[in-house]
Order: sequence, then C-alpha cells, then structure tokens
Amino acid sequence: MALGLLAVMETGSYPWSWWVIGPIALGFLGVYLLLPRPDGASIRLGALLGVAGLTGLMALVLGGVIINVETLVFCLFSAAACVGAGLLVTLENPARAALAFTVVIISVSGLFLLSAAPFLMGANIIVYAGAIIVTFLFVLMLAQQHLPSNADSRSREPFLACLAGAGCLVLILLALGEDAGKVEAYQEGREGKALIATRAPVIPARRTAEADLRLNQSGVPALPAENTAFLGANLYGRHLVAVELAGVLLVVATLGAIAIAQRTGAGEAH
Amino acid sequence: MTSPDLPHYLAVAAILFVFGLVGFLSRRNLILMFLSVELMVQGVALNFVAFARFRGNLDGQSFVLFLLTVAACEAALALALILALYRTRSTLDVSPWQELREEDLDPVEDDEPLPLPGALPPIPTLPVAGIAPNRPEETNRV
Repeated sequence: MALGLLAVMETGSYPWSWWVIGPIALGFLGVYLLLPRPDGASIRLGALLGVAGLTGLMALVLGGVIINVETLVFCLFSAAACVGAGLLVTLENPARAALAFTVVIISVSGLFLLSAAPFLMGANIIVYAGAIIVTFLFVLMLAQQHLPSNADSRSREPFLACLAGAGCLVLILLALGEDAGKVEAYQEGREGKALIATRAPVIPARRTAEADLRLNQSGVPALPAENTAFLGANLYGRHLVAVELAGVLLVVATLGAIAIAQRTGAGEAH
Repeated sequence: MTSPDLPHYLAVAAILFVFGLVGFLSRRNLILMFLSVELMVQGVALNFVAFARFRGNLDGQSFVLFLLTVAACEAALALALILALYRTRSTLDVSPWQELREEDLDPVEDDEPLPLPGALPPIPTLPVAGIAPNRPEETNRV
C-alpha cells in the first residue's frame, strides 16, 4: 500500500471523500475566522480549527508512508510551508505577512533540495528571499501606515474566497487520490490507466544527457544530488534559445519598470 | 510502504496554491495580493520539481529556472505599477480603483467602521540631567 489516500480509498466506493472534505472544511472555517475584519478576527478559535484541519490533511496524505529521515524532513518542510502560507494570508500587518512568505520560500527550497534540485534551492532563496522580499519590504516601509486602514483591516468577500479555495482543494485532492488508485491498479495488472504516471517507464531514446544518471533497483533513473551539471547541460543544450529569450525578457522588464516608476512631473496627482 | 512519493509533493503544492488563491481573492492590500500570486507560483514550481524528480527528466527543473526569471520580471513590473498607483491615491488599498469596474455593477461599500487606534504606549521619561539621583549611601568608608 503506497499511499495514504489510496489506503483510505480502498475501504469502499468513495466513502473516503469525507476524509478529504472534513479536514478541508475545518481549514476553511479556520481561515475564514482568521481573515482580518474590522470587528476583530477570532484568532484562537480560527488558529485551532486551522491547525486541526492541516493536521488532518497531513495525516490523510501521509498515512501509509514509511517513517524514515526523508519522511520526517518532508513533514517538517511541508508543515512549515503550509503554516507560513496560512500566516501570509491571514496576518493583518503586511510586513509580518511578507516575513511569513520568507518562511514559505525557505520551506519550499528545502522541499526542492529533498527533490534533488540543489541549484534551484539556492536560486529560489537568492531570488525570492534575497531580492523580491527585500524590495517588497522597502515599498511596505515606504507606504507604512500606523493606523488601522482599509487595506489591511478589511477583507474582500472572505466567505466566498475561502469557499472557492476549499472547493478547489477538495477537487485537486480527490483527483490525486483517484489517480493514485489508478496507478496502483495499473501496476498490479488490473485495468485502468493513470492520468498522472507516478513511476514513468524508462524511455531509452530520450536518455542522452540523462544517461549518466544513476538508476535505482527498478531501472528508473533516480536523480543524483549532484545534478547541477546535468541541469546546466539540459539548459544550455536543449533550451538555449529559451535562455536567450529569458535574457531579453529581463532587459525589457527592467526598462519597463524604470519607465513606469519614474516621476515625469507632468500628469502627477500631487 | 514508501518514502514520500509524487502525489505527496503534489498535495503540498496544491495546498500552497489554494492558500495563494484565497489570499488573492480576499486581501485588499496590493502588495499582499501580489505576494499571494507569488505563493501560487511557488506551488507550481514545487509541482515541476517533483515531476522532474519522480520522472527522471530534468526539463522540469529547467522550466522552474525560467519560471524564476519570469517571476523576477513580474516582481519588478508589479512594484513599479504599485508605486505609480500609490502616488496617485496615497493608499495601498485596491478598493479606490473600483471605478474601473463594469458599468452595471454596484460599487462595494464598507459598512462597518474601522476600529479606533489603540492608545499609544507612553513616552518614556528620562531623569533630569545634572541632578544626582538619590542613592543609598555606600558603606565601605570607615
């Protein structure tokens, strides 16, 4: 039994959907209570419901996974990422929300490292936590207001927004669970074909630059931790034109940002 | 019994994406709306990296590099636009811009009053300079 979602699913014909909907409903209530509003958000109840929903979701997704170091690190980083994302959405002070976003960035970078992408981990931390967050904090400080403002103390349609998010998450997780079941059935020789192939078959013709990647026991290429060189070969071999276009895009965006942000004097409101 | 597999990463990425969606729909601060979009981008990047890992194909990681490039360009342009908007209205709220809505839509009005600002913390006072404060007499003299 590979997956917790699958483990719940095989108990019958779709009674497991309540195991998905329940924690998401708890999280929906928690985020709805935590969103800022003029008469004050109910922080304790909202945080309790949100943490309960998140714990339920993690238990559902991770049920049936073997406990080893990789699982523990995965749990740590994914829990930190989800909590940071919740804080980003619900904190009233925008500077604190931006700091919560750095928690998300660092946690997602940890998940990148766990997924054998060390170069992307570094690039993510440098670009996001090092550049984007700092510039955003500069703008926040520039426009800082000490009094409760319309921008920070009010939410726009919090109920409908949370409902949209919860519905989206329910649909995605149900599709993932059903698909995991199909993958398992396909590998066991039963009928059914997966939309998302969990373990892809090795395609011999495609393994040119990736031919040196280590193979695991079942012959599937497993990315080594030192795959920055392979990433470079892939980037500058197969995607060279795209790299050049990305450079052009960066230049154009820089020119555009300077053109938009400069004070012309005429046409200003003050 | 396995280590965390592709669907686990996809589930975490979906949670991040949905938080970004909720933040973009409900928050009114322009900068927080933009940070929510960046949160959705992080979820998508996690999807790409997880697929690259479990399918043994590095194209996903290359795509995330281009995604980072586009996100950097987007951040620069969004900050320039936010600054321009802030200069005209002196607020980071999006609601003053609702005059750009469709003609047949009603404007959204804020009914509840904002809370009064709490009392400021008292300003600390310093002792008057030049006057020695009363101290207990030192007793090491004979």
